Amino acid sequence: MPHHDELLILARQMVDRNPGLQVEAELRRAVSTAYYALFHLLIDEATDRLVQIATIRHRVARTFDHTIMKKVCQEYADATAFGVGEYKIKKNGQTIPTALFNIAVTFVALEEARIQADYNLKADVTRAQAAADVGRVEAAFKNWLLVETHHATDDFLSELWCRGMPKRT
Amino acid sequence: MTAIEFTEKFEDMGRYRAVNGYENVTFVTRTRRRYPGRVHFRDGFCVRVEMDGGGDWSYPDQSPLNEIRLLLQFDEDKPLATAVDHGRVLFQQSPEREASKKEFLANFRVARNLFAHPQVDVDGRQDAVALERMLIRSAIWLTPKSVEAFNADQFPELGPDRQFELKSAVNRFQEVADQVPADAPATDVQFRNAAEAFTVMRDILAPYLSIPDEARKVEKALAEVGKEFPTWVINWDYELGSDSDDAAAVWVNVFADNSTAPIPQLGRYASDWTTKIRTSLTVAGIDRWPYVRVRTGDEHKARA
Repeated sequence: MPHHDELLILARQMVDRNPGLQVEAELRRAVSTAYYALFHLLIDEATDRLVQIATIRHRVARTFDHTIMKKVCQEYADATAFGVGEYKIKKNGQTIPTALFNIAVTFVALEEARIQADYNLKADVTRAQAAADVGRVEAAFKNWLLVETHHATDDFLSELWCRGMPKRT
Repeated sequence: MTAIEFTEKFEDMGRYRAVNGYENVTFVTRTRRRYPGRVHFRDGFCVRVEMDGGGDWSYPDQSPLNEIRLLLQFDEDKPLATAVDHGRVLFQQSPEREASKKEFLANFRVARNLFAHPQVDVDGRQDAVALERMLIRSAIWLTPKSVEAFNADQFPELGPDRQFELKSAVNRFQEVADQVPADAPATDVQFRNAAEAFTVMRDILAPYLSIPDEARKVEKALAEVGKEFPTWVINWDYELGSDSDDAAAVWVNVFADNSTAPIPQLGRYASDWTTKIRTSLTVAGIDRWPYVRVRTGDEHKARA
C-alpha cells in the first residue's frame, strides 16, 4: 500500500479510537498525519509524472516545499466558479475541474491546520475538528480519483514543484 | 491532595522530586467526566500515563513521554491543565494564578460574539416555544469560561455604581453557568436568568470591546454564509489574525450540535464553507483567507 494511503488510514484510526477521552496529543497527530497523507499523495503523483528515472524520484521528492505548495494551492483555491463543474483561475484564466479546486482548498486548510496542531499549543484541537480535518483529506483522496487523468492535473502537479525554482532571466 | 500539593511534587523544570514512583490522579475529559488513574515516573521523568478502563500511554522502551496534555482534577479545585514535555511535567496555569483583565475581556469577547450569532433558523415557521428551544441549544456562551478571570477591582474606571452592577451581573451569570452541565443544555429558567445577566455585562463592557470597521464587514459577510448553515450548526464565531505565513486571515469557528451533527461529513462541509466564505469575503472587499474550524457546542462549553 502506498505510504500516503497508510498515513490516511492511521489518521482516521487516531481520531476514532478513545472517543470521549481527552487525548489531545493524539488528535494533534491525526491532523498532522492527515496533512502529510495529502502532501505525499501529491508529491508521489508529481514525481511519478515528472521524473522518468524511478531511482532518483525519492531525491526529487525531498525538494518539494510546503510553503510553495500552499501558495500554488491558494491560487487554485481562489479560482472563481465558471460554468458547471469548472473553476477559472484568476491569474491566468485557466479552467480547472471542481475536484481539483477542492483538493487545492483542502491542501491550504490542512497545511495551516497541521502547523497549528504541531506548534500552537495555545489553540486546542478538539475531536470534532480533527474528525473534520481528516474527513477533508479523505474527501480530497476521492476527488483525486476524479481528476488524476485530467490534463489540468499535470499543470497543477508541475506547478507544485516548479514554482519554487528560480527562473532564468 | 490539592492541586497545589500536586504541583509541589515537581521541580521548577518539571522533574519529579521523588525521582521514581507514581502518583494517583483523576483525569478529566472535555465533557467533564472523571477517570481515576496513575502517572508513573522514572529518573524524575514521566514515562507512563495510565487511565483505569481507558488508555495507557507509554513507549515500549519506557523512555520519557512527550507532547501529552492532561486535565487533572484534585478535590474541588479547578482542573489543572498539565503538559508532559520530554518527560517533564509542566503546569499550564498556576492554581493560584491572578486573573487578568485582558484575559477576561478576551473570554468575554468570544462569549459576546456567540451571544450575537445563535443559529435559530430558519424558515420563519417556528413558534415561540420552538424558537426558545433553539436559542437555548445555541447558548454555548452559557459557560463559566465566558467570565473566567473576572476581577471587579480591575475596572475602577467604571465608578463604584457601574462596577458593582457589573460584579453583580457576573455573579448572577456565574451562578447559573456553574449549574449547567457541559454536555447538556440549560433549562428555560437558567437560560433567561443568564441571558438577562449577560445583557447587563455586555452593555457595561461595550466600550472595552469595540468592533473595528473591517471586522464588521467580515461579520456581515460571514452572516450571509451563516444563513445557509444546516440546522445542526448552532453557532459561529470569528477572529481576525494572520496565518503561519503572516498573511491576513480570518479564523471561523463553526459550532455543531453534539447529537445531530453528521461527524463523518464534517470535512466536506468545512471545505464547502471555506469556499463560500472566501467568495463572500471577496464580494465584501475583504482580502483575508478563511480557515474554518469545526467543533461541537459541548467541546466549547467544556473548555478548561
